[in-house]
Amino acid sequence: MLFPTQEIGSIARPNWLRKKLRGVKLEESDLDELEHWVKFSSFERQEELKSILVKKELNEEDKNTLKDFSSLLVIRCYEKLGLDIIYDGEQHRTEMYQEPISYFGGFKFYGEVRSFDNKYYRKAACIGEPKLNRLYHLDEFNYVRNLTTKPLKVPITGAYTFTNWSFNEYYLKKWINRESSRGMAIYKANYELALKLARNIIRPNLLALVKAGATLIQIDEPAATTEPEEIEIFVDSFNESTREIRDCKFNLHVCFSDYSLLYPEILKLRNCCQYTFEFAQSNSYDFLELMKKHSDDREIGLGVIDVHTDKIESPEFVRDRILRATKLIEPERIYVNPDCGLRTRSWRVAFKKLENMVKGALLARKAVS
Amino acid sequence: MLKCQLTGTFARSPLHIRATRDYDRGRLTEADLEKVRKDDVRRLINYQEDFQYITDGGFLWQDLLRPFTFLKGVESGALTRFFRTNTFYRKPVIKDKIKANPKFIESFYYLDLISERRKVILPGPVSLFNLSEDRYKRDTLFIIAQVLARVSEFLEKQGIACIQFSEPYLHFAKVIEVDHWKEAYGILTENLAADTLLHIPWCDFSHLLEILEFPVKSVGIDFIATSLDNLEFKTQKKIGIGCIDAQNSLLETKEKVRGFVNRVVKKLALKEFFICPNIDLEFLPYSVSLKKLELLRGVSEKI
Repeated sequence: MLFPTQEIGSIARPNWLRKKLRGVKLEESDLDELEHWVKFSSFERQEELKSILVKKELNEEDKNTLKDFSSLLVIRCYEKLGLDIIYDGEQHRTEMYQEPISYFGGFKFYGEVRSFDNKYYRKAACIGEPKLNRLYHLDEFNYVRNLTTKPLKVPITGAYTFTNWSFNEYYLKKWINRESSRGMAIYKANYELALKLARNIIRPNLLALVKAGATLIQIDEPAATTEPEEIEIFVDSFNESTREIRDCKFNLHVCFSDYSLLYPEILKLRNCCQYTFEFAQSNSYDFLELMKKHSDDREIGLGVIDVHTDKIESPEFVRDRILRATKLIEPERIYVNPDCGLRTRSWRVAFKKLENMVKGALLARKAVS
Repeated sequence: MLKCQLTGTFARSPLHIRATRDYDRGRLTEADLEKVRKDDVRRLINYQEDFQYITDGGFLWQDLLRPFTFLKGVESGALTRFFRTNTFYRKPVIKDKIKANPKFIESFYYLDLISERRKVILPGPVSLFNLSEDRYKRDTLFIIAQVLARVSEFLEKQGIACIQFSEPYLHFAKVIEVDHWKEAYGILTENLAADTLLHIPWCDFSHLLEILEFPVKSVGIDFIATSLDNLEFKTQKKIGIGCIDAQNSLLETKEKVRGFVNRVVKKLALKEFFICPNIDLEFLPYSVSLKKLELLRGVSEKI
């Protein structure tokens, strides 16, 4: 089938989940919203879910069960919408950086830095050799894989993004005295940290996921182009993370970046079948021209939905975006997805966008055939 | 006075961060948030007591370009990654000829809290132009330079002693258009008597030595991104030595930084200089940014 549709990763945690996890009383509107999606998706475990929601205080087991239910509800919604490749909207995760790092040894959090406006994230410093204290996506995958027969795509943050988003104290301290140029010391320090993260943290997680049955894993590297001169580090850390792992297809997700910076280094990615990039917001179709120019025959996960606006793209608009891509790349190599995770949008907006994305892909299939 | 300055937005304190969150969630009034924010500003002003110039920390700026998205002819666009950070800015979308009453800028500073040696930070025209989406396209760079000139002249009349223009874009420019940039700075600084500083964070300055010919009084160089070994120039301008690393929490020793500053001054035969962080200290958590501020003071005390 042409133009398989897929999600990128995160969907917002619904109010009923967020509030109950924080011990905040639910409002009627929260329950109405839940009811809406329960009906929409023919969610089968409504009574069990309600029995937890009525409790005044939740223990840890209750909280985990609520996350499980939210995960199941997202999956049922995706199934209803007709998405071809899915995961669970990352309902067990809070975000993609801070939470995984809490399972690493060798890192320390100093405090928060601003991401944008009044949004912040806790930024960690590497103060010792990275060590994996616990596999952090395996339990989630083992739960999700039993919920659906649809193909699953597991998202995981890549080694370079952890490197770039952290302060690298440990390796800089080592290299600063060996290199006369500070720039070279920073490069070597970051190279060493990224490779250690790939080897000690990401690779064991990937191996465990594949052993458990994962056949499609998306490596999220939003920082890949942040330091243009470090793209080689990103490539080498990706290759080390996925080295000789068979029976699994790896794809690379990058967003809101200048993708042209990735060439020619990304041609050296050894175990990557697909680039899942944002095209809707930036209109970055030039990248497809670059793929052609470099004879890069990987698949493309075409971002056709802008995740930073509530404006709903029409199916025809999505169709046209796909058809525009077919002028530059063979239709067989095109997958269809939003630009990025939809966690900044409400469920009503996110699922409407996904619904139209699925419809748009259908229209594009008809147009091509 | 110590030979040092802050050259960017400062980190918000944990209390300030919590207040902004509470405000966004409707749990705190604007007045309550303002009180917390002003406490941060006052604390930072006190820290800078004997610095060359004093800034308010830029706590009212959600990003370097944001105030300019409120101008007539400009809209606030998509969230976009801000260079080598995990920080995003709202891309200004220029849809029409920009019209500005320069007084608008007042509401983005706490000028009344700084009694003397006031310094303000503005985006440079090249960065403001190139980091925006231009759907107007009629010599927009020069229109922006004119707008910034009016804003700067207005600020000067409010008693500002130093106006910094930050140009993070210059390092990332795919096309180096020095003549255009210089012309824009000509428009910008033509009528300014204040100390004008062109600061270029993230940039390997050895590729952009022509900037030293721009009509500004001081140039701030990122010495974390620039290797002193590759730098050869002679200038009468005051040079900002950006040698406190605001990209890494690793704390430098005073002796090492001081030794480096002495090498820079000697090699480039600098007549006038000051020490500063290479980029905004807001890219560090508050506790670390305070330590870097102390380091800046400590290094400057014995220069």
